[in-house]
Amino acid sequence: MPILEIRDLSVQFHTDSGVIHAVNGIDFTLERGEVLGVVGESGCGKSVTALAILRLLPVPPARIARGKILFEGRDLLKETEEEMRAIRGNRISMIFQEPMTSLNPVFTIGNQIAEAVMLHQGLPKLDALERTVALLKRVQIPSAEQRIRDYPHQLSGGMRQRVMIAMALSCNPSILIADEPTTALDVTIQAQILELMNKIRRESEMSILLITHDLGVVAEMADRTLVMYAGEAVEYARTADLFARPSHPYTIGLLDSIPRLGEESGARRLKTIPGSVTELLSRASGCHFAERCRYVTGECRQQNPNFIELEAGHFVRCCKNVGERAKPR
Amino acid sequence: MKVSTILEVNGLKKYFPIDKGMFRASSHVVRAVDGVDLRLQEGRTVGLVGESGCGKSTVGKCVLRLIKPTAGEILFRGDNILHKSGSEMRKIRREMQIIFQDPFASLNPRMTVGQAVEESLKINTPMKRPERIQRVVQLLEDVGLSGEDFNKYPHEFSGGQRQRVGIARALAVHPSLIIADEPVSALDVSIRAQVLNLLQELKERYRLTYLFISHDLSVVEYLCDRVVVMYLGKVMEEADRADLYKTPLHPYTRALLSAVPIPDPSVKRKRIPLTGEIPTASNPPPGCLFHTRCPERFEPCDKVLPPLFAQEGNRVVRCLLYQ
Repeated sequence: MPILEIRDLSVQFHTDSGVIHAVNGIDFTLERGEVLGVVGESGCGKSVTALAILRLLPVPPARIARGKILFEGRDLLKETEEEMRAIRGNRISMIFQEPMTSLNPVFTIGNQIAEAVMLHQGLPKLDALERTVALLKRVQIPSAEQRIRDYPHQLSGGMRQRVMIAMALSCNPSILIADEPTTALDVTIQAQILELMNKIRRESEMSILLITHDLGVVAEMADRTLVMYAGEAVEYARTADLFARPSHPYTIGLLDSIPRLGEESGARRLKTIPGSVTELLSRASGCHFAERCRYVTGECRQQNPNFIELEAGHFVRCCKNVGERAKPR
Repeated sequence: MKVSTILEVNGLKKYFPIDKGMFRASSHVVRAVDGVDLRLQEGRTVGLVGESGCGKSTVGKCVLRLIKPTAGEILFRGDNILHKSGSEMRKIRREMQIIFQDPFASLNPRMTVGQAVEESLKINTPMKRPERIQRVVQLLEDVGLSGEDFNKYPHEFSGGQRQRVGIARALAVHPSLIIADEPVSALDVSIRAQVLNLLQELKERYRLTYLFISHDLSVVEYLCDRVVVMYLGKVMEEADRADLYKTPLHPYTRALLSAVPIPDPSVKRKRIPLTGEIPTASNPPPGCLFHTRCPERFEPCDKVLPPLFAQEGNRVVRCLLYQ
């Protein structure tokens, strides 16, 4: 049984200007010890999905319209708020893009990590602090015994993200949701944090839901990848298959539009996806990517294609089977 | 064809004082930029890369004299602009324009985009209103927007379109040098490619020279002819694009390149791990600035700050390995 299974999840936001379908019927599974990458651009619904799993969306304006979120077989959407509190930060943890905004500036980092340990594991303060030092060592923060007395502003961005990871690991969660964990960091620091996440995953068989816009990060980290566009899953496959045989025009377009290191470019033009991300408010019927798609036909505008399985474990939401025509690079 | 040097920066330094309170004189400085030399040939693109705090944006701002350098000279077409008066400087600024990272923050929300672009023409040219409007419409079309967008407000545009407005505004006064400070960093992947292509097209059409400031090594490789790598306020390596990416010399450049995630799971690379943190410019390490993280440091690295050693193929590197 997968540790997490999302079935037909739909999240809407009720605003003054209308209903926004932020997430529209997505399905995916997260296996034990697996890294699942979720990629997409701003507004595609990747962060909303993550927040929905932990039931952290403000209701209203948000509303989970349909679907199931099965964590070890239990539907989290049916749990009481109290039961959710026992899961959040304990069984499922989350780290965010900007660690400075998720740490409390007026408490030492030792205090903040120990609080989670005391709350979820019922340890007395001294034991909790001891465990905190061990956690900081595990995320490779040097001289951890002194560092627990530091305030967040005394740490660099990379160190703060390590603290967030330490806090997330404090109760040995089964799932870590990482929402753009390295986006605010410099590349050399990003490399360190990704390496740390890999090490932790090897040690503890934790599953990671890795949300990012960076296809490079996905390629290096994820076992499987879900590509989202305008609130829908458009492609879902083993990462190796996705990059070797991208089959949705959006995935193909994304892969074509990134400048790659070590590629003789010269005067080469980057291939682009025309237009900009589809407005979620005023969406027409048919495929949501149709406006920007280079393979579009009349059929595409009539009905939204189903999520079909092209080959074992490789799903795509496109009626054109363009993967055959688009030559992978 | 003879290429002329449009911008030359010699020994540029910018120190920011750290205030120690009202009554104590500031005893400490942050050496944000510490002796940088640059040379931009007309019609070429120089990339300035480095991690946060390396001083790359400060260099850009000094070149435009948006902040006053502590020392050094900035020669624009052979003329040192640091001694120019305000009115002379305004004339020179017509030749040099800047594009910022955040198109949300750099446009006035109460002005239509047409007004924003026109503003620059009002101040800098004797053009009359009908002439100005014609020019603005043409500029908007040049950057891939349309004349109908003249009366729209910034909030009606997406991030990529707003960045196009920023580019149109920079181009309004026919500049020859554009300083682009992280112009695509805030944009989505699919939009980034559109804006990069636009910058490339405009460069060819108007024979522009770019100083392209970025932390993104793959974007710099795509757009730049020559690349300058900075670390803690100093240039660590400078070379032509192809040489730098094919054979990076400085251990920092090598580590930086190896840290970029490659969007291809079939590529397995040897990553050069860098341990430790980026030191701060207010408290730089003694000796070579990079020695605290360098996997190849040896005996004198923690004591000697190496100069830039000239290497074959018109390149320089600040590392004792190349003495």
